[in-house]
Amino acid sequence: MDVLEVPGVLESLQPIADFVKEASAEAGLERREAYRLRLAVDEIATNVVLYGYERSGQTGLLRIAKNLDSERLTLCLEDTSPPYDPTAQAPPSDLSESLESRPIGGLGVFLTIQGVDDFRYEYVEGHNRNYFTVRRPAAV
Amino acid sequence: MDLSLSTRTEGDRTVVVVGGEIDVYTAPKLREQLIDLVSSGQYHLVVDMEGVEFLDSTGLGVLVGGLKRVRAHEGSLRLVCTQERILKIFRITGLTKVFPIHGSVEEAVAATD
Repeated sequence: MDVLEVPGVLESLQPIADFVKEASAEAGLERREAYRLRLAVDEIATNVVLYGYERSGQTGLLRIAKNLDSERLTLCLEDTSPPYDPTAQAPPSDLSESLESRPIGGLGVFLTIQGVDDFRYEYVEGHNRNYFTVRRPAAV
Repeated sequence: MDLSLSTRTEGDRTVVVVGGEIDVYTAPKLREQLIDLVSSGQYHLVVDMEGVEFLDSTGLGVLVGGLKRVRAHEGSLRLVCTQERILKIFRITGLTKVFPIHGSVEEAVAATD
């Protein structure tokens, strides 16, 4: 399956995770890279459901598509919630700050960007598009 | 996505054994467990994460919340984890400086606060 379209609700995170696992297996990603990719997609999909749809009182879909070539696997997660560019978010506050003074927020996007070889966002015709790219083992 | 939880007492420590996936869908269950333990006066917790297959930032938030709660009672929350992919999440978020992380439950229970 190259595309999966599911409702933008928390219950859809599992089929999305399954889609990512299948794509990772097809791309021959090692277990660690597959985990990081799944984590990255999970973080953004969770944000879309909780903050994009639920908090704004909207409903919509989550669509994930894969593009596999000889060098890399790219997943595109798309939604129609209000525009949100994860790359524009400030990095989490100083990670060396004490626990009491440091907010936990922002770590999800930080984990996303750290977890993949390339992360890109665009907003096109009412759609947020988040692109997650990882290099395939043979191409490294 | 399934999360399994069980608790047992070892000396003055309560060991919480976590298995499965900790994400936005399952994290509330872990949060409730930690709140219940603190509410019942158990302030020295060891969270055994050896059976955790997936952890996202929601799960990190729950663990940080648990640590803040036990610290309010001069307690402790120690983690047991040897899985590199999970440890990496703690490392890149700087949380290895916040949580004592041990290689076994025995080591965590024996550690002094």
